[in-house]
Amino acid sequence: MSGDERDMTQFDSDYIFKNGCFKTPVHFSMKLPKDLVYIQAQRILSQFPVKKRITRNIALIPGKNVLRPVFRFKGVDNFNVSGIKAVSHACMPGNHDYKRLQLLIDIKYDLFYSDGMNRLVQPDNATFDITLNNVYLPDCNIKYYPNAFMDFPAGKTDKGGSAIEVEAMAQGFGEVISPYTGALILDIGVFFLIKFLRHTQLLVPSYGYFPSKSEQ
Amino acid sequence: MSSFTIPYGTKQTDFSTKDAINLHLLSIAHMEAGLAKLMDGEAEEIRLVSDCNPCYDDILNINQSINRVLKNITKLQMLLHFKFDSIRHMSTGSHAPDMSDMTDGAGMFDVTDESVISDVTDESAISGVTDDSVMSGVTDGSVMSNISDTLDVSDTSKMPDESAASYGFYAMPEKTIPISKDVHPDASTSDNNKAGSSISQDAVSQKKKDISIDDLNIHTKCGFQNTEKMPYENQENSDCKAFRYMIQGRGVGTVSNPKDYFYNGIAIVQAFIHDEDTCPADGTCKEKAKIIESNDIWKANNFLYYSVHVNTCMQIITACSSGLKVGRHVHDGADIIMVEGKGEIIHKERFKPDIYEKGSFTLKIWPKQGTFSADSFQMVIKAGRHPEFSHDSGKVSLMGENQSLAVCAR
Repeated sequence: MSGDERDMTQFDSDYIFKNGCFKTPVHFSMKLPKDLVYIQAQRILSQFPVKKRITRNIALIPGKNVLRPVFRFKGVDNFNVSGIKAVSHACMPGNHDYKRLQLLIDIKYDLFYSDGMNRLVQPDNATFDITLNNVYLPDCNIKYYPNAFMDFPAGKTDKGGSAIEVEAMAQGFGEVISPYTGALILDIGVFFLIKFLRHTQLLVPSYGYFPSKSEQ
Repeated sequence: MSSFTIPYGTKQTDFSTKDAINLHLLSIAHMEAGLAKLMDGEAEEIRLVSDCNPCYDDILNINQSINRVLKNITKLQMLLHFKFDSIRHMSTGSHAPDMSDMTDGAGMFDVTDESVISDVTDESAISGVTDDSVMSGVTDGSVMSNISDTLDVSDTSKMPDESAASYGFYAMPEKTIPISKDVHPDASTSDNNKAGSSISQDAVSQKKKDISIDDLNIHTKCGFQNTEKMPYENQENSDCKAFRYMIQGRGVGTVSNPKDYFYNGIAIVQAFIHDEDTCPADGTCKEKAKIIESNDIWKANNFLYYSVHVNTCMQIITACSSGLKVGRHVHDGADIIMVEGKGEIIHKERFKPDIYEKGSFTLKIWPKQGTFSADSFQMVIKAGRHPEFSHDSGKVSLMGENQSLAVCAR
């Protein structure tokens, strides 16, 4: 049992059935279910598509002992969302269920280039400052933010809190390079899909088998 | 590859021991320069192939071919290293051979001959160079009789740096052959290497002292002879005997001048500058000093690139060849090295055409005390027609562990 499962509210099926808490429709004359099953489901509270561009000033590093490098920029690849932070959140005036959020999203990527002798890769990262208005988050606090996007699908959640999931498509473009010094100006453009999720519990009656029409 | 004529054959009896040693060292330097060209050719080959999107098999074949060539080059370099050790050993005096034997190494000079080196462009030719028949002049005779004393195959730590050599920056023959401490090396070698002339007796006969190992090591302290580590990486080399000024490498930092447009931008200096071949201030060899051909080659290779960029704007200044003046000054009580010159300014801005401009610049470099590394630099650019392209970086502290600007001054 994971930590998240332990945090979920526990119910006693027998108690529910014996005390008549679980009502079946009278006119269907259904039997009581054999069991009650809890299902955890994700609910998307808000979803925002955001386009953002950032200009990076980079100094490419030549290979060791290359005295007279001649840099050629090949491209950018291996994009990865490495971190999401909420810098601030505040209620929108007039409606406390809606918030204004400021997020910092880190994108890591690799620069591929040549110094005239070697093919080189230099990691770099860019931080995008994104402000979102009217984010529907009814009960308040966002308690948990995934450190890395890749970790998130593992299902870590806070205790009934919300989580942010970010999908991103990124590209580098508009490069300006100084071939003899390795000075590089590069634009990183990203299309973000930011989702605010809530993990909810569904209580479902289970009969252990699928009832036939006659039984219903 | 151009080369000057080394006199031999007719006036062998005019040679002194020192002359012969100088000529041997010169032949080593020429060989190294030739090998550097070869490796440069291999680099070009790789570059050419990589641009053609080769398939996997082609890459493997090219790799094997280049491996074979480099192996042969390495063998030859080891021979040269042994030769150098032998000469150094000989120069101490205890094993000094007969003069007539020393000049008997015509085979060595043949190897440094221009036609031989220029012809060595493919693998077969290289293997021909390492062939015993060609190198017999090196291994024959009493000149190399001391090789067995100094031969240590495992001692490869002094092998020259291949990547440096591949750029043609390895050998500095004119700097490697100082006659003695109190004769300026440049002057003496310029005399010795005069094209088509016999060796000046003045330069060699006025000093009766034997050449010490320290003299011969001048080059290795600050030059490129032993480039397992670059000169500035050896902390013990706190002085710079062979070069009056050398600026080499790369410096990266942040523009600190708040009044400049590029404030907080990234400033990068990439330089390879060596001093001109002139005499020291005391004028002891002023008349004899001549810029020899190989030094001209070095000067032709000198360059200084500086770029600064912030946001979507970049400015580059390029200065090459011999138009660079290097000097050592005291600025606010600190020793600095100052490089002045003229160059081409390129102003780049995103989505706009590049603007070209001429301008002058002054680069000040503050060295770290006791090392060959620069601590900080300042670049001031004065643009001609576009004064808005003028730039003052302020004092830029260098950052980045793997990037260092080596400076050497005395």
